[in-house]
Amino acid sequence: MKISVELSDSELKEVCRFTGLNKKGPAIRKIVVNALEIERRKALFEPILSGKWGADLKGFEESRALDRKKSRERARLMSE
Amino acid sequence: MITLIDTSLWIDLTRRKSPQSLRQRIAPYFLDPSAHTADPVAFELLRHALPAEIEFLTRRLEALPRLPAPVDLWGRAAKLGQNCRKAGHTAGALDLLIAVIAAASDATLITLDEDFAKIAEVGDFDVKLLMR
Repeated sequence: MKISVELSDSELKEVCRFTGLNKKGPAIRKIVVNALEIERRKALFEPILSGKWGADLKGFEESRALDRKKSRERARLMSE
Repeated sequence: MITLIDTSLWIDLTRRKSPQSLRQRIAPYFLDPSAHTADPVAFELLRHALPAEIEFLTRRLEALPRLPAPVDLWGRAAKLGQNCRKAGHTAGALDLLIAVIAAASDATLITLDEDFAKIAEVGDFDVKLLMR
């Protein structure tokens, strides 16, 4: 769908600068799509950021430490 | 710039006991449209989730595009692991997989885990190491 949007010269220049695109149409599309994605993610992560939802996720640090410990043990065995 | 959000950030963002100040500090990395995830990150997060948490976390993981694993993932991970050992550091297997996926997509790895800074010294990828 095509729509008409009024922007000032300075706003359009900023849109092109922030997107790194020279063509006005693609630059406006990119900045709108990015803004939409940010709003989608804000809504999706809101229960976490507001503290309404949280997980326990017990054992993550222990698993990473174990993975590294086993890698070191295997490396030691290989070098013997 | 593409970013890959490491599991350590997902853990600190979603864990109930995380300080609110830390959550607010790392949240912008998730909201940035350039933020991606990867299979080993999803694996590490979901393997520690309780059954009641899996659906919620999966929906959030799916909101971020997933970086593809290169076809030579395992070979590249082995080579990176060898280079780490030559440099005196033995890296974890999953850390190597995450690092190779970041390197293959030319993504900057955003992490709270300083082991990745050691891997990046010999790997072809950038790391942004955050502090808790």
